[in-house]
Amino acid sequence: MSVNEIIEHALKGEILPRSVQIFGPEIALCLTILALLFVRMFEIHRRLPTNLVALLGALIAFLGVFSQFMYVKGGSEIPAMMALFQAWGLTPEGVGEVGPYFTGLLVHDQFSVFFRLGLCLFLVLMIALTVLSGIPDSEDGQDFYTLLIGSSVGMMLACGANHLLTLFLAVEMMSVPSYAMVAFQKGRRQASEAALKYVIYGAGAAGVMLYGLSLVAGVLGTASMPELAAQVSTAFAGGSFVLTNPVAVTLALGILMVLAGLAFKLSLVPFHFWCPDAFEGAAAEVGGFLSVASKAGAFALLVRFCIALTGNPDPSLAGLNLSLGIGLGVAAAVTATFGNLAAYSQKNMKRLLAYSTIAHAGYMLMAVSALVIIRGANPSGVPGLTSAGLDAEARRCLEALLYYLAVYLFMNLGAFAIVALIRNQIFSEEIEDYRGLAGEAPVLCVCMLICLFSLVGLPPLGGFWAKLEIFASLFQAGRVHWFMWVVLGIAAVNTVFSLFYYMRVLKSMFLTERPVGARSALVPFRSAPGLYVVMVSVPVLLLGVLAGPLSQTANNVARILLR
Amino acid sequence: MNAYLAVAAVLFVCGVMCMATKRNGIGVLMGVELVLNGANINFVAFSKYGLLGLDGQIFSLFVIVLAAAEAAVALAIALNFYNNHLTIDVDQASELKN
Amino acid sequence: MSNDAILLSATIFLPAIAALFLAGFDKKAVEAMRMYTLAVTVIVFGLTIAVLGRFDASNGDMQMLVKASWIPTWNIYYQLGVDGISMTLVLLTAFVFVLAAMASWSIKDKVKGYLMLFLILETGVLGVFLSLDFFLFYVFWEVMLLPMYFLIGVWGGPRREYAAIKFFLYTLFGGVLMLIAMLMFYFNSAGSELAGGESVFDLLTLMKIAQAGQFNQQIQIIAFVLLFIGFAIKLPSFPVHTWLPDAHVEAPTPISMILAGILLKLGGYGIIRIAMPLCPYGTQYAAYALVALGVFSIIYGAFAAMAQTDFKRLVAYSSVSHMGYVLVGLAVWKINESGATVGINHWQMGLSGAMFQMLAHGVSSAGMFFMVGVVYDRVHHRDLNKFGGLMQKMPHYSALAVVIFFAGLGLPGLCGFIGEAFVVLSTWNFSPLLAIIAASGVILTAGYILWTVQRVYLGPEYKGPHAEDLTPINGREATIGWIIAIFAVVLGVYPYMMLGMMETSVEKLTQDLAAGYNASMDPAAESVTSVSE
Repeated sequence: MSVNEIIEHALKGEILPRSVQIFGPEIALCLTILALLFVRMFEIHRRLPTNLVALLGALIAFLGVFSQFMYVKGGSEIPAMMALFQAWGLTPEGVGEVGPYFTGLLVHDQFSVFFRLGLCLFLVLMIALTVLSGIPDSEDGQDFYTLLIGSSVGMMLACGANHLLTLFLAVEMMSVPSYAMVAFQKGRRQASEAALKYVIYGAGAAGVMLYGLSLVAGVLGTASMPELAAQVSTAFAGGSFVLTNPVAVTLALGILMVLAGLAFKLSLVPFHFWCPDAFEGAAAEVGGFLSVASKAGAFALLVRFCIALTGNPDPSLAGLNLSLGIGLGVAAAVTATFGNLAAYSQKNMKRLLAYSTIAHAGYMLMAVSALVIIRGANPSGVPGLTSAGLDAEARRCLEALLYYLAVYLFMNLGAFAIVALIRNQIFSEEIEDYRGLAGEAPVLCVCMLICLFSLVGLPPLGGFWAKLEIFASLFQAGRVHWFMWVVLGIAAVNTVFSLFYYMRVLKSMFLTERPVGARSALVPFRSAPGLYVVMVSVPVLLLGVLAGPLSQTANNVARILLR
Repeated sequence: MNAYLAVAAVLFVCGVMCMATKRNGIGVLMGVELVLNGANINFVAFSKYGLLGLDGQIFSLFVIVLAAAEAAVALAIALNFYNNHLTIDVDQASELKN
Repeated sequence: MSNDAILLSATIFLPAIAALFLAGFDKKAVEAMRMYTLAVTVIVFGLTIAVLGRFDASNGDMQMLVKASWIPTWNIYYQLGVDGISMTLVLLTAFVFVLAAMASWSIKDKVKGYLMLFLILETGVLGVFLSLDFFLFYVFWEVMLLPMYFLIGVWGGPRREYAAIKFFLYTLFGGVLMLIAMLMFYFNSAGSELAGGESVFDLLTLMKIAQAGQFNQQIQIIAFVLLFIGFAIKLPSFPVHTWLPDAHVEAPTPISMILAGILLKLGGYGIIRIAMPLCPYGTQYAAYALVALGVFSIIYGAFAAMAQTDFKRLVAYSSVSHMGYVLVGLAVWKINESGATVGINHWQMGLSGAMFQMLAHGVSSAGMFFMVGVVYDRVHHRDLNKFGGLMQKMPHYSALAVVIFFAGLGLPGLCGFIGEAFVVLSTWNFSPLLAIIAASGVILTAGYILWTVQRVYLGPEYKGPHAEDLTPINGREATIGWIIAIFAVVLGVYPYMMLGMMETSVEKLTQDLAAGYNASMDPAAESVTSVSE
């Protein structure tokens, strides 16, 4: 279907082709980018603030994904949503149907809609934050928002990746604009240094990943992800996965390289060096974006890639699944431990949050490793778990990951937003300078407390439930392979470690007096920043107290993905 | 096919070595280009002699475009770094430390 | 919603809701906020009395059950209930909170935040005592951490930050171990038909499964160790007690009262309510080690107390020593070669003694900390070597203090005696050697308390710093002192008031445990869960 035909359809108000229907929100975002550039070109940004254009575009896209989400969740019969469904032209044959679109390059299912919803929500919240915190200013707003939205489109592509080409494209689309965003404060020495490090590591990782992709695609003779698993057995022709087999070695090398590229995006040890530097050098808002959205996109890719590889019931390939699962488990355990230990000595708040991001990537990766282990288990060989039980456990792992990401969106965004808002008041991001802030900006500090305690994983906050789900899936994966119990133990000890450094921030805020002569930070409750942080922190609390609906939804998403 | 793959592997190794040893930011980026092109040769070879079919060729076309975009951004950032630091020696980028 | 649901939920959540309203008070209305908080704690105490009114002491089962679905996808329920064991502790909690609220007049700084956290803490503690779902229990358990951290960290003494983080870390570490044990039970319960083939957090169902011996021995031992470490930290027992002296010394007086009076009991309660019923085999497996550990804690705590020169630290170590009796009393479970329980009456006596010791210690230690606080407010130091002769300057106060310290000592006729005597007697059946050592702990206790009384209250006139500030105690302080002293005497003279309440529950617990142990030994029952290993 050519572009002309599509435009014809749209102008005549006819039902849009399925691919365009599903891709609607992304198209809206692309149009927003164009609008932003035009606003600048025709010099109307003095009358029409660019951040409002961006916010509007993001909201429209969010509504689009939201209506898709409700449509796939509850069907076409929700009275309250009818108007929205019609506005986006949703039809049972289009959005209502799960399956690949755009000639199989992308796939439409609950998993991708769930992630896209989260990303769009995050984009809206992010733009709202930049409106409040004043980065960027009106002169370079359109550049910033173009990069931000462009990167988000890349992440949304990542959620639906169904082909190794889209996988690579998505990684590049989310990375390249984020390099520029880190360097956005052009005159700051730190920002340019952070960006240089980020771009060099990032480009290297992308290159290695591409080489890995070429090996995987070449050895297996296909680049379409759903076919990978079947091709693995064909490629081995009944042989088992051992390292004396040259095909196996090449494939393992390729997979390893692809995982290295994804590990870079996830800032897993040993590919984490860029993360603290980039976060410290960039503005806090950009840090929040990198630590939440880019993690979510990369996890979506990782899950898709792992599921594509391990969907094979052939028992002779159990070695591949097991070594992949254990490898991920080791990486997860090392990453979480390293992140927590390194965060301990940090003085800069953004740097501390960067290490905390690394640690949390480790926790989330644990869920993926448990998923791989459980999916690779011999259906008849695990005592106490039937085949159906194994499926339920696999769903639980994915549910844990999705829940964690959802909570993480709010709690980490909250923490970064508060850092940005405090920076606007006291012009500092050093923990030392936070002393006694609780007396002056109680709302910010209490919300920071909620976010940080949720990051530790204390009840009754959302982070606790998320962590519990991860622990539960590790526990069950331990029945398949004992190593997961070791990972569980490490995760438990890490939770205690992590308390140290989060508490240091809170101690500084609450337990000490404000030094005489320090800049005051008066942020009352009834102000836009105050309301914003409350709005972001309340879901953290709600997701902890009322965990039922979201965990149910996540479980559903997992059920359809793993079917 | 093996000859093509060997060339690609050599390019890849050269590129990785270049990334690992060069201290000049531009040099590192050149290493990245070598790696990308190594992968491209792989794709084209697999597409011609393997089972990958046209997918491989399209893959490499996309990669060429992406490599250009990435290089543009990377060079802009390197230039910005030069403006601020008057060097593009990556070892000089050490202000951000624990 | 039934009446029980409303009553129990109100008891738990009233303080937290009241804390929200407290946020609306004007910052300057300090006196009004204090009165309001006191009123809230009194109302909560009234509610617990109402719970007591509906409570049937002759029934050893859980009563007033409340069950509502909370997170259905994970089989998590909002489930509450009381039995004789939790009933007494709920009463103690509400009672000590009233006293602590009265003692909170000594807090002058940032009163609003203090009182809000104080009330949230009460919700957490009552929630732990009343919840019957493991998950809910865990949530309340951890909810207590946050207010406690800030109460010590903001309003504490000079080393408050260190003490607060130490307290937090120890408890969180224990909590994480408990979490893993919780998951073990959750997933293993799916193998039992008693849970309907589903994983449950419901403690009552888990207890039934344990009683039928359907958790295998290995699980029971591992889970018991994990749970025990978690609870022993709170108790605190010997190797993991080191947070306690720091936290006690740095915490402000009312918080010390709550810490010693109630929070330590949570450890004992956790062992009775969760660790023992869910792991009968594990309990029996570890019984000798537990008794030995308890006895060692008694002796160690007593010697450590003797060596202190800081008044508050002395009282803190005396808590370690006193809580050792609790551990001993819980674990004096003797079996013969065939696995049958020997002298179940003695064990029941030990358990009752342990429970009573918790209550008595709740009253006496809160009193002791209060008495230390009163004098600290006046002279601003706690160095035992600089005290002496308070009897002449503050006769009223000193008389009350001596009564309360003697209650802590375990003088017959006062509350401390019954628990210690019961425990030591029951230990004799378990192991005469350990009984003798435990009994010698009583002598050591007498030694350090008498020495303290002599050093602080008797002797020549006080010559230390701030001698001129030693004013007689005011009405509020005297009221608290008198209430505690009266309860110390009443509990000592008429212990059946409390023992009667828990008698049947304790009997039922011992019988269930004995049955659970025998069932766990039985290889036929074991096969149900051995597949899940």
